[in-house]
Amino acid sequence: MLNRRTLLLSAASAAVGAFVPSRAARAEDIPAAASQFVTVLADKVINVLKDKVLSKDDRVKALAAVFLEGFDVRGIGLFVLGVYGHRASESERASYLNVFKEYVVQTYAVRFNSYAGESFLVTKAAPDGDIGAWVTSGIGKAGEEPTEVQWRVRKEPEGYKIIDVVVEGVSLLVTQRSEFAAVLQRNNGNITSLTELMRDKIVELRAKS
Amino acid sequence: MSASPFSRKRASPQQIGLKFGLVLAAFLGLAACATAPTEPDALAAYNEANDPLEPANRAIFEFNLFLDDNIVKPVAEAYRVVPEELRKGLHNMILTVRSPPLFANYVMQGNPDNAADIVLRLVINLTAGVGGFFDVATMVGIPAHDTDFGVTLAKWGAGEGFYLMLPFLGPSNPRDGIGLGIDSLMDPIGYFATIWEDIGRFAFEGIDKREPLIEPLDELRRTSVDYYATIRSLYRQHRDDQIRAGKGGANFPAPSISGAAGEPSADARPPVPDKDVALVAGRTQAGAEVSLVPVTSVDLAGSLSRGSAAAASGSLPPTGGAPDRLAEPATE
Repeated sequence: MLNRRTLLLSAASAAVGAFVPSRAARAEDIPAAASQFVTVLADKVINVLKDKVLSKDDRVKALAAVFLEGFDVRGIGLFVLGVYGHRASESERASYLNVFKEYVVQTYAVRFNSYAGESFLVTKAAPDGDIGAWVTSGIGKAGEEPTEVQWRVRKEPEGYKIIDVVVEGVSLLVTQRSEFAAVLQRNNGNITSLTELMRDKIVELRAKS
Repeated sequence: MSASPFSRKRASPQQIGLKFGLVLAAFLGLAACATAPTEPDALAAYNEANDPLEPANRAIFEFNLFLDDNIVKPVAEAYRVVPEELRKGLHNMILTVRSPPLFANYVMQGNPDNAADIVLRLVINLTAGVGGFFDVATMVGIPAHDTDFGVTLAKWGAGEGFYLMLPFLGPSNPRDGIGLGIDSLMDPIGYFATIWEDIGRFAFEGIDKREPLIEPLDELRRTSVDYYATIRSLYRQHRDDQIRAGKGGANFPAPSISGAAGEPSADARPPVPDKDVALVAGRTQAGAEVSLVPVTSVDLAGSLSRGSAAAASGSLPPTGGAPDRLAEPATE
């Protein structure tokens, strides 16, 4: 009796489970899926750097595309405005986000280019609440002690996106927000002046590269 | 006449420290303080920066940059004519010499494991490592550790106070500044060396620390819209990490899912590095040709505390989690 009921119950739950994955099961998938996402992204960067046919300009463009695909640049851009974010008008915010996108491409994506010859390996992944994951990776030259890098990945409506990178306790997001806060504070919270400063910086960086 | 080594001593580190402190106090006393803003957003940003001496700090930062551009960096660049193996050996010797204050700090922090490692490392590297030139201890599995009295004070409950840019020495705060002085008191070499030997050692340690950072700092300065604020943030985050000693626990804020500036999520802590369980979730298919990360922040962060020469040179042990050796690139 008891056996049959248990059997029936487990059969029923198995049947349901096959069609409707439980909430818990889906939540557990996020770290694995986020690891996969980071690994695929790293592969893309590696493939771009391996492609000897690409011109320097095309390579930078390809790296920028991978960067923009992998990072939630809009979310990051709004977050790093900090307490001043709510002040901007819709048009100020739009032009800021446009310039910010170009600024981070010039600052970070271009940097991929100069780090050829290093290995990338995902070592660990842990849930970050139930909306994302911390993906830990080792980066370095083969045979040397790797640097541990943590990627904060979010499951967003349009797919997985990186929202922060943490190296030895230093968060890219926190650093960028502090830097912008200093600029904004100096300019009475005027976001347009920050946008102008970034625009100047982009011109300067382009001229030198 | 005077053959005793003690007679060579002209100025103790304490005396130098005292003079230096007085000059610094006078300078800071003269410098204008920033006035706290009244407007709420500006006040929030002001409090977060925790930098009431910002105008004076920025002036000192400019002075340090001037010194760096004209003396320190050019010398560090010139130092690269020395073969890498020799530079590495000299760096190992610097670490060996720092063993006594390291040991004392770990004892005071109640960390007998690391204190024991420091003693073992000292014995092994002084003997098998030929006077500290070769880091044999790391090779046999006793990794280097790094701490200082600023960290000890933090473990005892002292707060950072406020941000302080020290001339010649760089980013600091009252707690870490005091730590610097106490560390020099715990350094036995200081009691035997003449002032010129002390200065020479200080200069050499500076060059040893600066050399691996030539490119990372250039890059950071080139891309920053406010280099001073970037360094300030990096220093603070890096010190917090050293105080937690790789145990995780930093509560990083993050944007909310909508992408608007948001509150920190409930679980913002990155996982604690775990040495035993390393889930290998994925490996790059294409093999191995790249770092995906701006390495700048790695090296830079390591350098910002004067107590982390090991981190600056990249010889800091992994905080855990990451494999000891990366796999060789896959052959296709």
